[in-house]
Formats: sequence, C-alpha cells, structure tokens
Amino acid sequence: MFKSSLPILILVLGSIVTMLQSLSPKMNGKHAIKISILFFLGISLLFFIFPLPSSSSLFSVIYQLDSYSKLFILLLFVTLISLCGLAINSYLEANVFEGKVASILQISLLSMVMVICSENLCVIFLGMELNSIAFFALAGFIRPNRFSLEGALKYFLLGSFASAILVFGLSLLYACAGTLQLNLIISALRNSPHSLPWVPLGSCATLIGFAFKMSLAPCQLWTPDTYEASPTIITGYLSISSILLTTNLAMKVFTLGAADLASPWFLIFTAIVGISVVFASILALVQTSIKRILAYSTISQSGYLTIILCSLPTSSAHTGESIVFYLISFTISSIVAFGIIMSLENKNQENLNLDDLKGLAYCMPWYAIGISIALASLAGVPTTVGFISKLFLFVSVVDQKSTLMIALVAVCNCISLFHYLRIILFMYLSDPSQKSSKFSPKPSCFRAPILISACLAAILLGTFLPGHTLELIAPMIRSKLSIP
Amino acid sequence: MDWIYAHIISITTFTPLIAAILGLASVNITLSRWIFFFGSFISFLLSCFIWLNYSETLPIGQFSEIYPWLEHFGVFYRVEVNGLSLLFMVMCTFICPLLIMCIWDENVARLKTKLALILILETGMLGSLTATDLFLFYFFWEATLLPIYLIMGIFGKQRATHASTKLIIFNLFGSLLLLIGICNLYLAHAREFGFYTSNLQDLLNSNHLDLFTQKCLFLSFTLAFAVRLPFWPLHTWLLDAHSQAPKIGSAILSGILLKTGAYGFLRFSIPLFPDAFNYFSNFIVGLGILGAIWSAVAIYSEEDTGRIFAYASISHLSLASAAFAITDAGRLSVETISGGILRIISNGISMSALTFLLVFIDNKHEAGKQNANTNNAACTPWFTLCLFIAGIDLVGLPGTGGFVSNLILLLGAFNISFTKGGVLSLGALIGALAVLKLCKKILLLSTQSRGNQFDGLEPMEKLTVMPLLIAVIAAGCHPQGLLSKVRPSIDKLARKYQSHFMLKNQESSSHRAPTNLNQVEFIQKGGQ
Repeated sequence: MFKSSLPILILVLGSIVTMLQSLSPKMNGKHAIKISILFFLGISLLFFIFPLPSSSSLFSVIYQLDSYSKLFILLLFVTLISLCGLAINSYLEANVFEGKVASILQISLLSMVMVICSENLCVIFLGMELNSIAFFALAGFIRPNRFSLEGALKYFLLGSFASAILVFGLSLLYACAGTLQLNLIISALRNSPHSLPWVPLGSCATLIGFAFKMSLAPCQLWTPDTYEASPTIITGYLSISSILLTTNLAMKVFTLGAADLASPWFLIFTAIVGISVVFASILALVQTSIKRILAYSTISQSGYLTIILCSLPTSSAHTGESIVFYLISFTISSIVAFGIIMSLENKNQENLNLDDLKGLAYCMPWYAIGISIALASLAGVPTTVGFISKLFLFVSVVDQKSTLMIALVAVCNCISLFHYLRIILFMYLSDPSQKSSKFSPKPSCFRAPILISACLAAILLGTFLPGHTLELIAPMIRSKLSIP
Repeated sequence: MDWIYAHIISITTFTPLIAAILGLASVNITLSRWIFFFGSFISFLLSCFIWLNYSETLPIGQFSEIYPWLEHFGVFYRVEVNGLSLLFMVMCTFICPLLIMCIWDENVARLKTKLALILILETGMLGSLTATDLFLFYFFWEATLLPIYLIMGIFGKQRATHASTKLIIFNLFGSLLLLIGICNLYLAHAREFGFYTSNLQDLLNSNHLDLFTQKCLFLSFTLAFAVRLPFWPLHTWLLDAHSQAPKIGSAILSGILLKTGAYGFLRFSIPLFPDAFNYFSNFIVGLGILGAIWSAVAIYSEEDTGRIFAYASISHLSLASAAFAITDAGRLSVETISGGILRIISNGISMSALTFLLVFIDNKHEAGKQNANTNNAACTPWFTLCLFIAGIDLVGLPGTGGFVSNLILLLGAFNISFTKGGVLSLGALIGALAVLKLCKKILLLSTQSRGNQFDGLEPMEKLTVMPLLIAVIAAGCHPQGLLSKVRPSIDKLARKYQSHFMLKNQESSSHRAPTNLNQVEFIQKGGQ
C-alpha cells in the first residue's frame, strides 16, 4: 500500500527533515539544507519516474500515476531543482536555503503532485489550496522588506477571495452531481440537465477561481505586482508551476468529455483570452522592470495556451501534443530567463531594470546570449523552441475560424515580439561611459551546467529535435485522450 | 564526396551560420575576419557548383533533400533548387563575401557582431530561397528579421531606434499575415483530403479553393511579400531604414533581403492562387507603376542620401513587380517575368556597388582627418568608372544587364497588351530619372570629400567593387547565360497557369448550352 505512495512520503519526509534542520543554527542556511532539499527532491523524482511495482490499490481512487502525469511531474521537479541549483551562490542564498523555506517548497511540490495525479474533486481542491497557501508564504517570507510584503499581501488577499469563490463553485457542482470523481461529475451533468440553475453558477465560480490561478483576465491584476515583489526564484517557480498546474487541470476537464458541455462557454473564453492578451501586450510596452515584463509575458502565454485548449474538444489529437510542447517550451524559456536574472541580482540591484541591462552583451557576453535565447524563445523567433510552439498556436487559432481571435492574436503577437526584441537590442547597445559591468555574480558550479543545458535544449528543440520530442509525447497524450 | 553532393544545398545554406558561430567564438579578431570571409566564400563556391550542375533538361526541382522535421504535423525539412532560387542564391552568395571585404577594416570593437549578423542573415535568406515546405519557408523568412533588426538598431545612426522599430513592425506584421495564410492553406488541405501536409507540391496539386478563399489567402501572402519588396504604399519603412542604417545595412537590404519578396511572390503567390492572381493582376500592375512614378518624383525633394537610395530602389523594384503581374486572358508572359527577374538581379548588384562606393567615401572621411595634401585636381578615375557603370546599369543603357532586362520586359509587355506596355515603359523612363538624382548625389558627396581626403579608391576597394561591375556587364553581354537556367521554371509556371485557365474555360463552356451557332463559335474562340 505504501509502495505506490513512496515518492509522496519521501517529499513529506524531506519537508519534515528540513524543518527540523532549521532548528539548529549550525545547519540552517548552510550547506546541510541545500544537500537535503536536493537529495529529497532527487530521490522523490526517481521514484515518480520509476515507481516500485505496487501490489495494492488502496489509494487508486484518488491517486493515479500514468505517463501523462509523470510528464507534468517531471517538468515541475526539473523546474524546482534547476531553480534551487541556480539559487546556490546567489545573493539570497542564505534566505532561500533556510529550513522553513525549503520545507514549504517541498510541500508546494507535494500539493501540485496531488492535483496532477488525482481526479477527485476533494483532492484537487486540497492540493490547490495547499499550493496557494505555500506560495502566499513563499512570496513574502524570503525577503522581508516592505516591497516584498506588499506584493505578498496583494497575492494573499486576492488569492483568498479566489479560493473562496473556487470552493463555492466546486461545492455547487458537487451538490448538482452528487459525486466527487471528475468523470462521474461530468457524465452526471450531461445526463441530467435539469439541475441547471446551479450548474452555470458553479461553473462560473470555478472558472473565476482557475482564472485567478492562471492569470487570465479579469483576475490577472495581481500578477505583475506579485512577480515583481517576490524574490526571483519564487517568481520563476510560481510562474511555471501555475501554468503547468492549471493547464493540467483544464486538459483533464476537457478530455473527460466536457466538450459539448463547454461549448456555450467558448464565447466567454474568447472574451477572457482576448482581454488578457491585449492587456498583457500593450502594458508590457511601457514597463521598465524586467520581472514585470516577464509577468506580462506569463499572462499572454497563459492566454495563448487557453486558446489552444479551446480547440481541444473539437479538434484532433495534435492539439494535445501542441499543448504539452507549448508547456515544455515555456518551462525551458522561463528557467533560463529567471535563472539569469537570479544570477545577475545582488544586494544593490534588487529589481533589474532595462537600463541595467544596457551594454550587457559586451561586459558579460554569455549572460547576454542566455537572456537573448530566453526572450527569443518567449517571443517565437526561429531556431528556438518558442517558434515551434508559436506555429502550433497559430494553427490552433486559425483552426477555430474566428476572425476576431486570429486578428487579436496576430496583433498581440506582433506587439509582444517587438518588445522582446527591443530588450535584446538594448543589451547590445553599449554605453560608452561604462567600463566594466556592475554585476559580479559569485561563481557557482551549478549555474553554468543548468543554464547551458537549458539553452541548448531551447535551441535543439527548436531545430533538430521537435519531431522526436513530439513522438515521445504522443503516446502519453493519446492514452490520456483515449484516441486510437 | 557523395554525401556532400547529396546535401549540397544544406551545406551551402548553413556554412555561413557555422562560420558565424566559429568566428564569434574565436578571440583573435583577424582569425574571425578570415573565418567569416571563408564561410561566405565557400558558400559562394558551392552555389556556383550548383549553378554549373543544374541541368536544364531534368525536372525543375533538383538537388532535393527531405528530412522529417515535425512528422506528426506533416512538416518536413524539404529543400530543393529550381531555376528561380538558383539565380537569387548565386546573387546572394556572390554579394556576401564582397560585403565582408568591404567592411574589413572597421571599428574593431563590434565588428565581429556585425559580420556574424550578416552571415546569419545570409543563412536565413538562402534557406528561404530553397525551402519548398511552407512552414520551413516561414522559419527561414522569420529568421532573417532578428539579424536585420539588430544590425539596424546597433550600428545605425542617430535615429536608428525609430527606423529599426518601423522596420520590425512592418515586417512582423507581414510575416504574421504570411503565417496566417500558411496555416489556413494547411488546414484547408487537411479538411479536404484528411491528411496534414505543408509541402508545396501537395498543396499545388490539390488546389480547389473557391474564389473568395483564394482572394483572402492571396492577399495575406502577397501583403507579406509586398512589405518586404517593398511595394507602394507599404514602402515607408525602407525610407527610414536606408537613411538610418549603416551603409552596409543598405547593401544588405537592397542586395539580399528585398529579393526574397520578389522570389516569394513568384514561387508561392502565383502558383498557389491563380484565380485570385488573375483577379488582382491589373490592380498590382497599377499600384506598381504608381509606386515607380511616385518614388521617382519624390526622390527630387529629398536631400538625405539614404532616402534617395531607398526611393530609387523602390522605383525599380515596383516596376519589376508590376511586370510580374502582367497577364491577359489566362496567359502569363514569360518575357516579362524573365525581364523582371533580370531587372531585380541587376538592380541588386548595382545598388550594392553604389553602396560600397558610399562606404569608401565614408571610410576616407573618418580615417584621415588631417591630410595636408589638398590637391583638388586629383582625379578619381576608378571611382568615376564604377559609378558610371552602376549608373548606366540602373538607367538601362546598352551593354549592361539593366538594358537587357528593360528590353525583354517591355517586349513581353507590349506583346500582351499595348496599354500595359506603354504604361510600363513610362514607368521605366521615369524610374531612370530617379537614378540620375542618385548618381548626382553620390558624385556630390565624393566631390565634397575630395577637398579633404577622398582621392580615389584603394586597391582593396577596387577589388571589392570590380566583381560586381564585371557581373553587371557580363549580364548585359551574355544574358542568355543567366536566363537559360531560369527559363525552364518560368516556362513551367506560365504553362501551369495557362492550363489552369484553359481547364476552367472548358468546364464552364461544357456547362453552357449554346442556343445558336454564333454562341458556339464564341465559346470555342474563348476557350483558346
């Protein structure tokens, strides 16, 4: 019985161990915590990818580990392990590798695993709540200055409201359907349409809760402030994990047969997505803080993902592969982007501005190349993995045949491409008065391997390997979507 | 050896990219310069090899390579050479080594970046010329945007940011329209035939779109190419780009980048959407000639060298594009298309030559500030010769490629229709006036500098610019050499176009029931 839940137990054990380690001042904030968090994350990942053969299926009602879930778990673990590795020898190292923070990081990962592996409404809600609470804490805890606390407080207040509305919606759906399993709920809702006054209300409330998590309009206003205020490791982790989590949930809902139920909602989805991408693209033009720009980019990326999700019910198997590929490309680009920003920050330069990046290409060429690759990938410049995902996005949008959507996506893509490229140009414009760089990142043996492998992945997946990757992903998606 | 022969197009396309990466990675400036030069020179040699081994009797697409890229989605890495791409390829690889030689001795600090960006641009251009898979074509098309933006933005003059912004917005919008058109075509094919493919051949063979869809898709493809060409009224980005760009950026733009627009129009817009092309052809001719005359007149109000340059470019290229669109009753004219292509090629070579002359004048400006030698009577024979040859090529006087191109173009146009021929010749005439202003401006610049430093061309500079001018004269004396390789593809294009309309006329005539003999005769004549 415990064999199947071994990886989760390892994560729990890890969080307890690091919490206990925080009690001893000799260990707290030093190597011991780094070693233990990486150790537990690594072992847990191994057991997720190669699970022990389990004899009993006690928890199988609420916990199923198939290859589709393993893919998402792999992406999440890789994110956290890379970000922790990049945080070693950064300026916030002592604060990040404090026992309590390490413990909350592992708990947040645990909560996301719960959501990904389960189709039970109660477990999903529990996981989402735990995730939100963990991030509320992480956003403000590591760097306790006023600015950080303000961002965390905004996130906390809005997040609590969203969670309350979410639980209201979920409970209404449970009341209408009478069961907690997602597939049974959907079939119940389809078969008995007369309990309908509560179903639209419940679905709407649920949608608002998820839109908050996924940073879609009208609940996207917390994103820029919180991302700017949090320490960069948490920003990166929050950005990647919320997109992965909510996309996983949305795919579960859509693929369990909610297609015909969801069709009246597509007008609402169109409106939500349209407002999000327009908002993100236009407002990103006037930003100067790099983390805010990345926040707006996350909003527009989640908007684009939702568009591809909208074509999931009505279109072919290719849409599932497109979505997963989009997620992989987003993960890789964000790891590179946030990782480099983490390395460049120091005590005097806490929130990087565009002006700080001026002339980076001539002082620190490798960092500039890394940021260029990350931004080019987010923008969709060819030879990066983001280009392939942009192709998938446009095939999806055109497939939906809505001229307004096509026009919106084209214009917003144009605007956002332009402002990413402007940042890249900025790095290559040198300031003649500046002789040496104002950044002096402490040397770290983890930074180079992680960043180089992520950049190489971004380029290889955009040029030689997309076909191979899609072939690897395809069987997982097909089994999930039950397409022959 | 066999492996090289089998992959020669890929090697030609990617050698500049590999040279760019190697050159950037090496620390010694001289070594990187030589690496960059050899990269582009090897590419040139390989494209000459392809040129010599391209057979006019075999089927059109040769040296093809196919690799799976996104197999699930039906997208493959498919490259092949046909006559059109061959000519543009050779021109592109011919100009690039000369570009590198032209800026050999520049400001050392950022020379490596500039040269690397030029080579990456060359790779993108060569790739887009040889790709036959629509998504692959789009890949290389977009890949040229970032390098030109960086060249313009980093190395430009005072208002470089403004110019590069305009460049990127115009071109991005065009590219996204192209992408939407490609996606539409891809999905329409999949809906009709059940399998996904973005191969040009498949999409050509299965082309049964209705007129409205064809018109929309034709517009989306053609607007993208029209922005790149540029075509009036989408030309304003080029004015700022040429005026604020580094001179070498002008050479790249006029010599290399703008030709992709013309190539794309011939290769994709016309074959894929013949009905829509027929519908819009008069409109395109009208706009092209309007653009040619407009630019030629507007050039006289300008004083900035870059803008004069841009207007001359626009005038010539608009005329060539108008020539492509000359069609009547389902017949494409092979002569006008050949003439237009030759005009574009010779325009590219001459404009690059003129740009090089401007670079040489600038170099002398910056180099010697205190030159006691104020021998104002110093002659500059080579400079004048180069200017003269490039000028008469652009104007279209005999002995140069420009003359031959004008001749063939107007011959074909008059063959099709007297009015169109007349209007085109008017456009050519007024375009020639534009060139006069350009040459006058360059002479003025050289005279102004002559007082101080400019006293002729260095040997290295002569070596850089002479190949271009020899090419111009060779094109004028032996145009058959250039056109013989292109001719089969243009013939095939015209044949397919004509047969498409003949089929349509036959279908429509078989549906009509003639009521009297006169009508029967009329239908039979119309089907010819």
